[in-house]
Amino acid sequence: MQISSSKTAAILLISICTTAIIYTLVKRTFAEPVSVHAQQLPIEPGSIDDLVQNATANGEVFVSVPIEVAHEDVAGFDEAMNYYSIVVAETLSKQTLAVSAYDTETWFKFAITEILSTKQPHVCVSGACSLPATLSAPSQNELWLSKAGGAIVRNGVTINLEWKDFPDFTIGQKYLLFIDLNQSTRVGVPAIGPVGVFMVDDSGTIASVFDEETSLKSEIASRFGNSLGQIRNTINPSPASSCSSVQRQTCLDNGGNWNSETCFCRPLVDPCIQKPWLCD
Amino acid sequence: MNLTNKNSHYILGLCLVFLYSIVARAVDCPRCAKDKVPMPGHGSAVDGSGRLNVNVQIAYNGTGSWSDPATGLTNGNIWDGVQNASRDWNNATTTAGQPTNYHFNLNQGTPSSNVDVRIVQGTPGGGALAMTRATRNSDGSWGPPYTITLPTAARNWSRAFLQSVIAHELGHTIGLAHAYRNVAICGQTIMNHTSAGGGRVTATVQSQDVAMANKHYSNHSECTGRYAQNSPTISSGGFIDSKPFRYSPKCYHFYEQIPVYQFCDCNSLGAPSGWKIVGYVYKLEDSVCF
Repeated sequence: MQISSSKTAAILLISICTTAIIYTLVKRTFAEPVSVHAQQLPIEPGSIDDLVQNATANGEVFVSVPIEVAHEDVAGFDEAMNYYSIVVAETLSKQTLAVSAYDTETWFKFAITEILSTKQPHVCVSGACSLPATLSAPSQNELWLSKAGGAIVRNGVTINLEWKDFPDFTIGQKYLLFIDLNQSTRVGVPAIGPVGVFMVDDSGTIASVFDEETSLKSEIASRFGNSLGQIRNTINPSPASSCSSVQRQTCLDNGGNWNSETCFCRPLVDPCIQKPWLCD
Repeated sequence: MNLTNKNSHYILGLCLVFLYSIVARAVDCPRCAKDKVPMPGHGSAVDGSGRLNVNVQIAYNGTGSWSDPATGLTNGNIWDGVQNASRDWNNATTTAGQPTNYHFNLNQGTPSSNVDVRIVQGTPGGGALAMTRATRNSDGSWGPPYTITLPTAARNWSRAFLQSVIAHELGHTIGLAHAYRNVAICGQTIMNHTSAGGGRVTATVQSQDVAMANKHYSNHSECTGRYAQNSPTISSGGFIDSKPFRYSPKCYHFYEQIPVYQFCDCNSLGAPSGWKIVGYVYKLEDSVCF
C-alpha cells in the first residue's frame, strides 16, 4: 500500500504538534513554581509617588512642595454674609489623607462655639465634601472642615503639600469662619480659602490668618473695628437693653464706656478716687 | 494766577491720575514670584513667532488620566479648555502690543521628559477649583514641570468657566501669583480668584497679566511675590543627643492692673454720684523667659 506524500506530511505535522502539546503540559506540570510579581503601575510624573521616589534618591526624608490653590473670593463683608455661613468654632483635631495620586487633604474637626448665620451651601451639595470613611461623624456641636494640602508619610518620606497662604488651623484656637457648610451633615469647606478665616482672642478681637490685604479683611477692620461683638450685633442685633437709660446716659456724658450687657460703666476718670471717704 | 473752576477740576483730575499711577506702580498687579525661574520651554514656538515653546500635556493614561474610558479619547471639555486657555495667553499682549515670551502648545505626542505643564485629574480638596505646583530645582528655586490638578467635576463645568480656570493656572506656570480682589487698585486680572458662589471675576488674560509675566521673564529677582516660604527639605543623617542639656528658664510675668469700680450714690453726702474702686484684677500681658 502506498501512502501519498500529503498524507505523510499531515501525519508528521500531527506528530510534531502532539509532541509539542505534551511537552508543554509536562513542563507546566512539573516546572518549579514561578514567583508572580504583582503588576506595578508606573509612577506618574508629578504624583506623590514621584515626589517620594525623587526624595529617596536624594536621601531626603522631608519634602515640602508649595501649592497654589484656586478658590472663591468675596468683594466685602456683605457678599461674604450673603453666600457663606458664619461660624465661631474652636479646632479640636486634624487628620491628613492622600485623596488622589497627586493630592492630599487635611480634615479639621471643630467644636462650634456659636453660629452667627447660616446659608445654603453651593459647594458641599450633591454628595460633594463627603466625610472620609476613616473619620467619625461630627456630634451635635461639632463640624468638619477640609482644606487642600497637608503632610503625609509614605515609604518613610514626609511629603508636605503646603498651602503657603493658608496656614493650618491651630488646635485649641478659636476662629471666626466664613464657610460653605452643609447643615445636615455638618461638613464644610473654607470656600474662600484664607480670606474667610479669622482668629478670635479671649477679648473677642479678631485677626485674619492671611497676610495679604483683602476686601473682607479691610472691611472687618474699618466697619467693625475687628470686634466679634460688633459683627455679632450687626448680624443678629441684640434685643433692647434692660439697663437704666439714665445710668447709661450719665456714663456716656462723663466720657465713660458703657457695657449694655453688664450694665456697667467704666468711667474715664473715677470721680470718687480723689475723695474716697465720700463713697464709703 | 487765577484758576477757574474748570481749570482746577482739570488739575485735580491730573493729580488723581498721577496718584493712581504711583499706586499702580507701587503694587504689582498681579505679583510675580521671585523664587520661580522663567520657563525655559522646549524649542521655538510652532507659530513661528520665535517665542519659547511650552509643551502642555493632558494626562492620557495611568492615574490622573483625562481619557474617557468608553472612547479612549481625552475628555472633550478639558481638551477645549486647555486649547482655549492656551490661545488666550498666546494672543494676549500688553497695552503696548507686546505678547508674552511663551507660546503654550497642547502637545500630546511629546515624550514625558519634554512636558512643561501636565494637566491631571485629581482632587484638589477642600472645595478648591484647581491646584498648581512646581518642581524644586537643585538650587532651591522652583520651575517646570508643573502639575495642574483639576477635579473630576471640571468635565461638567461651562466652557467659559473651565477656560478661565485653566488660563489662571497657566498664569502660575509663567511666574504669576494670586491677586486678591483688590480691584480698586489692580483692576481686573486673570489671577483673581472666582467670585462668591463660583462665578468668574475675570474671564480672560489681561494686558497687565502679560506685563507681569514679561517682568518675571526678564528679571524674576525683581518680583515682589514668593512661591515658597522657606520650604524645608531635611536630609537623613545627623544624630540624636543621648544626654541633652536641659535648663530651667527664669521667667518674668507682666500683668496689667485693671481697677474694678462700683457705682455709689454720693448725693446724700453732697457729692455727685460716681464710682469707687473696690479692687483690682490682674491680666497676664506678657511673659519673658531666659
